[in-house]
Amino acid sequence: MVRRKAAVDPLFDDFVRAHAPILLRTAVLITGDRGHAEDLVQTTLLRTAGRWSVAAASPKAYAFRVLINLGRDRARRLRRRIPEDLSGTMEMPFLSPAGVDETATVLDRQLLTSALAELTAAQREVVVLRFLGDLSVAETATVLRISEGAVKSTTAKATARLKLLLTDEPLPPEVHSDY
Amino acid sequence: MITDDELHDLLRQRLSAETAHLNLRTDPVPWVHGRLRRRRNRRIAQVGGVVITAILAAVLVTVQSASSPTEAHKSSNVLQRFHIALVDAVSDDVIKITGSEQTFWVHQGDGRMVSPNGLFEDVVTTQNGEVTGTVVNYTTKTWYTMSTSVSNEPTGVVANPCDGIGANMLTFADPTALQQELKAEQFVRVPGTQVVDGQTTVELESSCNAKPVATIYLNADTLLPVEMMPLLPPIAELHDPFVMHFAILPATPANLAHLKLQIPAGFTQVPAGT
Repeated sequence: MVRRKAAVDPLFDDFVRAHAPILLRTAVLITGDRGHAEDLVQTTLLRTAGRWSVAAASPKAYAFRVLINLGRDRARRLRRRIPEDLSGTMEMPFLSPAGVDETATVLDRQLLTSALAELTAAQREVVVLRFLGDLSVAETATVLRISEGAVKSTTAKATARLKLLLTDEPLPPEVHSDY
Repeated sequence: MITDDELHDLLRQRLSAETAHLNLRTDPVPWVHGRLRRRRNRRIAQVGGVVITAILAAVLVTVQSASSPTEAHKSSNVLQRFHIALVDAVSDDVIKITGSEQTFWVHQGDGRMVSPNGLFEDVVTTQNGEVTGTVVNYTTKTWYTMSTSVSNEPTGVVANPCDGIGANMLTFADPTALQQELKAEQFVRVPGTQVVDGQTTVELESSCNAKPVATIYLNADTLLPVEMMPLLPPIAELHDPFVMHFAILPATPANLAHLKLQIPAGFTQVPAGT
């Protein structure tokens, strides 16, 4: 029998190339700070590499979980020093592509970002994982270590809140979610 | 009126579109590899020579002391030979160990280890628990000398022998601590043979208190080591898998030349750990 072995699993490199951008975008939306977001992503990738034998089964979920935990740790540290006001600390300039000055587009971006900042941290995590990270309810539940029911209810509350903030529509008496 | 599904689609589109231009400023793959390599180099520079030579010596004595590697070795005779091996085994040979990304040249006789690949270590161990060496960084064109105490514990005191093998491999250099670790460790042959590096090998699993420590492959004919994979941190966690290939070479001038540290002209000495 010939043993198959590899010094570095090429699948890890493939994973990094494919998912580093989405991890960064997720981190930016969760922390509101590009510099901190890059730090979180780098630490996430190193930890994922160090535990690749475990992470390889579901690397995307593993990396998102590490990222979320790092983000929460950072938020806890900030809370000890000064109450965090995400709406005030969300950096906007990085969301504007260089050389583009479309007022309406920028306003849209500000509106969405401001709306995300209006959510609770838990709601923001769910929204970003589900709609930017494109994780399923089950994957999101695994990453956040909560039940699928909690993911659904949090998603429903978050989207209802966003619906109000983004469309100026009044919140319906009951919000149903079927995902 | 916008429906929930429409809102979800809108969120997906907007979140994707508005963050699509956000990318890491550098290619993350070489960055991650570089960080992992530096972390491993730092640790190996401190403990690698001691660990590798000690493990290699243990492997070799396991081979020498066993008529057949089919038994668990735990007798006092084997332990004694393990102990003696730290000083005597393969003292006349040069050992080439090819790691996952680096090559180490080890000369057991004087405990020197050189890794001439990017980060260059020349580690000399002494008997009083000190590891000294020189580290040359080819990236920054700097070099420094290092000195590390390999054991701060009182002689003979090891709370958990397995801790010394995994979490604190520095104790490999402490003969008394090592002896206690070896008492708890077993080498057991895995049935059958495997082909590794083109050689038919037998596989030994090394464990401590039922915890796997390393997998070692020996040439089925010569019983010399062919390959080893540490399974415990800190080395194992930095590479998956971290594999070491062994070649036992005669101490010819050409082979011994690999153990000579040459600091390139123009490199600057910096404080240790820089």
